[in-house]
Amino acid sequence: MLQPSRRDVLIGGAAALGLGLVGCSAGEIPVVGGLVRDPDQDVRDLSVSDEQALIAEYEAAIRTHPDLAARLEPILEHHSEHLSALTGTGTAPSPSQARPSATPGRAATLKRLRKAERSATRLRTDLAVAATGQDLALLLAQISCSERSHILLLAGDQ
Amino acid sequence: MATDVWRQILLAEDAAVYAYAVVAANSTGEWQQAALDARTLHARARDSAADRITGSGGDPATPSVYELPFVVKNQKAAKQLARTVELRLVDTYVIQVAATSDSDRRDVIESAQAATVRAMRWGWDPSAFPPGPGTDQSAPAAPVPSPTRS
Repeated sequence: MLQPSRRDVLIGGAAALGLGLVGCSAGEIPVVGGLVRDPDQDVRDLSVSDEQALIAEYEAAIRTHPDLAARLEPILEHHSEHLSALTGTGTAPSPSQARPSATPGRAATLKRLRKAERSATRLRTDLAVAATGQDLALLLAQISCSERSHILLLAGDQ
Repeated sequence: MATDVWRQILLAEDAAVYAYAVVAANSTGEWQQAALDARTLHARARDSAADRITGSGGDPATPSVYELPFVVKNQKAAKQLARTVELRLVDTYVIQVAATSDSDRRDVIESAQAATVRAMRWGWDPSAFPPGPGTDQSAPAAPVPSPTRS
């Protein structure tokens, strides 16, 4: 049996977040300890951790298959730009320790990345719908378009 | 969705219908078929937007003529026009995110994603973010359309 990947866990979190947001009607700002909490903090945090997980997946794929680097590096660069836009900084992400347990072949690696991008497109769409801030919603919508384009870039097994 | 959202979608889709006729006229074989299919698809989206505007008592008027951003006389320029049109649609739909919520917002995001895929099929090399109007390096001219009433 495969263990649920970090991404699967994150996507589960998105579902939970969706349920959580239903209970908080528009205009109601949750106040925690006298401080006004940013209603989009969870959306932002989840987007950042998902982009970090994607970056780790691409870095691992390139290490395992250096011959795929020319194809995967431009996509990896897109994800780094997404992460920078989400965090509002130009800093590199903290390297993730997540590693695939086995060494998948080229076709399996591409298939795994296509699946990851499909999940990312869905998650980013869900988060853009959940976001209350317009700028964040717009940014997530743009990122979802980029991730949708990656599915096409990763088509084929070579 | 607010009528203003539908109006912007209507204008962008109507411009796409116009542009794809030009793309088809300057294409052959499978590219011409792709342009005709895209024209049908955009006409459906345009008519649906027009119905929504009419349904809420608005006027779904569209310009009868559009000015193309560059001269289209061969297959290469035709593909460039198709890319430009689709990227403009990506931009149009993404902008509507700010004016929509819930399932309407989901719809406009999915429309933006679909236009992204079509831009790629016409040869767009994707970037980390949709390029926005007029910034596609392969299409340096201004985006379509600059509507001119005839």
